[in-house]
Amino acid sequence: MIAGQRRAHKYIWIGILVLLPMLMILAVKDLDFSAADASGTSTDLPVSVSLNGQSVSIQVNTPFKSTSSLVYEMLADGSKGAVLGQLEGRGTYDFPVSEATKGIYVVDPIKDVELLKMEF
Amino acid sequence: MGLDYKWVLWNAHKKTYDRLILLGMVTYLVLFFVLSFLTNPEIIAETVIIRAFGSLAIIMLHIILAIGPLSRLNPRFLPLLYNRRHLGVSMFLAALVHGVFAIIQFHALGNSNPIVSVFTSNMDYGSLVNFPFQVLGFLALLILFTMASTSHDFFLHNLSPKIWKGLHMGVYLAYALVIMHVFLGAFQQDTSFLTVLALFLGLITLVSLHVRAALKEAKIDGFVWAKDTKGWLAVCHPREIAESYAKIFTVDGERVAIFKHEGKLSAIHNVCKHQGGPLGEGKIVDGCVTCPWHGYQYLAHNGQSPPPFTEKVKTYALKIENDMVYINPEAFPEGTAVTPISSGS
Amino acid sequence: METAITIFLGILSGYFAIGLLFALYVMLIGARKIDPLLADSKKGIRVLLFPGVVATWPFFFAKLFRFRRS
Repeated sequence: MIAGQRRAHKYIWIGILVLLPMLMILAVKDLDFSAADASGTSTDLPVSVSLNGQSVSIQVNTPFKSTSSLVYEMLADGSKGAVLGQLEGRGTYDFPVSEATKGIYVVDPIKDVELLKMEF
Repeated sequence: MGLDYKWVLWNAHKKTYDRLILLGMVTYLVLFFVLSFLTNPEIIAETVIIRAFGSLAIIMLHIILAIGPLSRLNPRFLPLLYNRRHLGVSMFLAALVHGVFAIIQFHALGNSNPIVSVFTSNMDYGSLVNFPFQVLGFLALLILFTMASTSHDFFLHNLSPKIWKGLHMGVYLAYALVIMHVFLGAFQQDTSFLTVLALFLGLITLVSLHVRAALKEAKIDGFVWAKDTKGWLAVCHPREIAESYAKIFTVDGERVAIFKHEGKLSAIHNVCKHQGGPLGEGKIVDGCVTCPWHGYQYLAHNGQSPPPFTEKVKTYALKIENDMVYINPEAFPEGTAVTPISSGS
Repeated sequence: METAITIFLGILSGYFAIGLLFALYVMLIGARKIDPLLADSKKGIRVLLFPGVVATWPFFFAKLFRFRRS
């Protein structure tokens, strides 16, 4: 190594030594380890839903057991609106929604069972 | 050194190392699979593949990062250093399998692009503990791809050693990203205390190895030479350097090798242009300084590789006064011819 | 954040798309202009170099440009 590279290595390792443990501690300091579920984050849920402006994003972490899962929009009065689309397995699904949409329903159309109801 | 490019510059040693790398990887994967299915018969194959290849890549990354300081602390590790590139490419391939399977398992079935889904499935960018850890892994994989794909000598030659080395220093950023990827993943998915402990131990081991090596180097570099009135440094007696060999001295922070060839002394920069090998630890073969790492050659009196090769290193002026070898710490430009001085022996 | 992600991924895919095209050009036609040593090397070697050229194409692009001018 030339002198410059030796110097760069020195600073990089000092940086790693200071920064990484700091980030790790900052990341976990707010966690409540006494709680039964220490992680409690979105990926533990079978489905996580987020509204991003004009579209709703549904992340399916654990697939539904139903043969078919349709997504309906929830209207302002809580009733089912139009079909937004279908969920098929793990992955992220984006569906366009209108401003009137208050939430979503996931329904098994064959057994006519409501699998999930979520308000934004 | 060659006039054309070869797939891999294999020799008997390298083949042995490559076989060992492959054997090690396969053994680890088989053990991981067997133990996973024995301890948890319900686990699905994709999950085991993701975990097996991911953990394999991280272990290999730790080994790769330890080789540099280990070989500076103990020369017995040097053969590992010469073969570090193959280990690096193998590590990338393991990480790639991990990444591809993770993207397929978690992001491929939706209606959005799987790569976009990696970035948007968890939008908690403002949080530290819930930060989308898969994004960190994806970015690390990009860096590792750039490094692995440019590890051939063709890129060293065409990108220039400076840019190449800079590009390959990206491994430290990749390391930091990977550590945070695993750390946050461990908390967000299954809160594995063992994983976090192993990461910490790995970090402490690597940092202490690098610090120890740096302290050792600093001791060598920190030596202060006596100066004459013109600022030349008195480094040694001429007889201390054996015929066809060199001694290495640090002048103004740079290492210089003073070679004795046919009783005459010449000084060149100690760092080989190919991969930074220590020229002063090599010897003169067929009239040329030969790098101990990969056999790149230079003429001692002008620091140039013999034609048709084009590598050049800096040269330095020497003089002998009162039976002491003095060196001018101001280097000449790369490839400048300097008349060798008679060592009187 | 959405916009930032879209821009980032847009740049990334653009970079790799150009890299892919450029690497194809280099490996099929322009190899000699990039590095004369490639002319004497086995053709198969270019397959090995291909991903690296995709990843670092701006450097080779600059090199090709300098070659044209000189």
